[in-house]
Amino acid sequence: MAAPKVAVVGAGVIGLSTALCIVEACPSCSVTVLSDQFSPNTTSDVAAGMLIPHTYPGTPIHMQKQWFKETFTYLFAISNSAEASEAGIHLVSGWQIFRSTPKEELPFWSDAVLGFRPMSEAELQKFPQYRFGQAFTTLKCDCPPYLLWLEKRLKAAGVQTYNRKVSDLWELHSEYDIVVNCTGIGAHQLVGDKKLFPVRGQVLKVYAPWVKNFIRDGDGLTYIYPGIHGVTLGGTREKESWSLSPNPDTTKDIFDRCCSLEPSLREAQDIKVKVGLRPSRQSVRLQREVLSQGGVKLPVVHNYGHGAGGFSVHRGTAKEAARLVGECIAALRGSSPGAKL
Amino acid sequence: MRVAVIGAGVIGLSSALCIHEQFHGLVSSLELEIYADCFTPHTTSDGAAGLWQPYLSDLGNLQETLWNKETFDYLLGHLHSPAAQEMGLFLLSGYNLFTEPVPDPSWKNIVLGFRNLTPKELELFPGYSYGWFNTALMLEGRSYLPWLTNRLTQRGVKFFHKKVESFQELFSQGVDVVINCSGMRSGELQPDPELQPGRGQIIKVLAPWVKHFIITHDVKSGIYKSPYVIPGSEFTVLGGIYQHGNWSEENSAQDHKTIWESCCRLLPALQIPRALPPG
Repeated sequence: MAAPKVAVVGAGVIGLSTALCIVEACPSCSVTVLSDQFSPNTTSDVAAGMLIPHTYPGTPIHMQKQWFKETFTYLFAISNSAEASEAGIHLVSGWQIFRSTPKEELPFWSDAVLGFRPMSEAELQKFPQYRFGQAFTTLKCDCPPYLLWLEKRLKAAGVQTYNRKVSDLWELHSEYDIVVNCTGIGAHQLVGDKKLFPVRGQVLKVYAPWVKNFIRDGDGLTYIYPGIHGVTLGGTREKESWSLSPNPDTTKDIFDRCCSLEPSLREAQDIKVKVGLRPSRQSVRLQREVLSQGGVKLPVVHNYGHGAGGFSVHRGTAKEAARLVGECIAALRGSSPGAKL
Repeated sequence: MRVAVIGAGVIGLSSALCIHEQFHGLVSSLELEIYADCFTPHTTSDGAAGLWQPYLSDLGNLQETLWNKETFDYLLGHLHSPAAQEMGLFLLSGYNLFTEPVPDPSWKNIVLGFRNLTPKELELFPGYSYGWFNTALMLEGRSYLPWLTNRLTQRGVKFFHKKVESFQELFSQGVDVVINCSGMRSGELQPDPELQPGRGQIIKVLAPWVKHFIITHDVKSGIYKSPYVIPGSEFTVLGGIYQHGNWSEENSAQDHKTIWESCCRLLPALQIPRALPPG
């Protein structure tokens, strides 16, 4: 078979990192990224990009842990290099606080981040309504910089990107040998996955450069994440809401909740409101499928449904998707001479 | 009762404020005056990054540890006040790095969350085998001094832009008490051979992805002669120069090179931005 032609559909953090892993694992592959949205208009661009995993109820914990560790190690190396600022990757320390002691005092990822430990009494005094907390150092991937950096690496590796709306994966069967579906929330429509649902998140991005530590309420609803060009204040988790329009009452509510954790945010400037739909699922759909019509087959690798945890596991799932693409190639090569290639 | 404070750096202004807070109700017709030839943004305090961190050892001087604690607790108490941002006050976490194990500092229980560094954290800093992590406070002079000035002005304290040549000069004008907060140039008012300049030079860069202070220590060379990185609210300060006895206020190209190279080795991510021109 001549150089396998692989189409990656989707250009958020999952699509771009998957395309990069494919081209790294299979340099002879011809990889193309197709998407109707690119940075700064993807779901990823709204996310703060904090490496604090979300737990998928349907995915084995050891697998989530491996994905997270792989992602953390990869980004840790970039953060400590001359590319860090261009890639938007930086270390950030802070606190996750709980109003009452959580059932699980040690999350599965506590040994993957840096310096994880319970907060001291003195530290908790900053948060009088909270009884328990965890202090640690983790990484943050700022978007758009990270996506733009991935696009640059893809370009350098010969990967083309095209602005194109794919309405049906099958439409790609004549141009490509393998299709990788990284369409996030778009998979609901594109492949009719009814197990995929949006969890609407509204956030504020504000200018408050004196905020250097993150603060996250363990309930996941209120958080303050300092980035390179702004601080992300969140948020909401509205299941099954498809609305991308900012809600002004929500904006006020988010701002008030964050100011009660960090009063100095009252002086924040240049408040921008953004909305993203987390592509949520019980488990990340990371598997092969073969579409066929009239004797013609199209191998597909799905890599979507990362919900609130996309950044935290992106590299780990991208590598797994690349491995699955390798299996597809092996299967194509092993197939009969009458097959497509 | 006329009280004159000489010096308008952080020591002069905060001393004046403490005096006014404590005595204006007790002493009838207290007149508080501040004399200085140099005001913000041109004082020594304006050049400091503003990180709260005492020297590593108090050399048994427990009084200094108490002063340190009182200062930290006072500032911590203001962290949630509406004035915090105007004061230039915020929390900052970070690293102290060493090439060998050292005893814990006298301030370990004053700062928040003091702990040793884990092996994985030390991987970030090749050449350093031991260190601390803690959360401390930043108090930026270019915000704090104007804030102090406003508080003092509101209280009716008067400012005089004037170089005081001698204590006698003030007493002969009718001043009753002189508070000498003249910092580096105190020797001109009263000789003090123990008071020596510790010349520092810094580079300010735009590096908003740096969210931690990093202070390296070379126990042999002494404090602040080893590279340090301190992110402020706007700029990140790079330093590592401490020259005892050097009075020069000119930028040294050699020092600039030393700071830049050693800080880039410490934090490779710095290599992208260009430094602001010295001065």
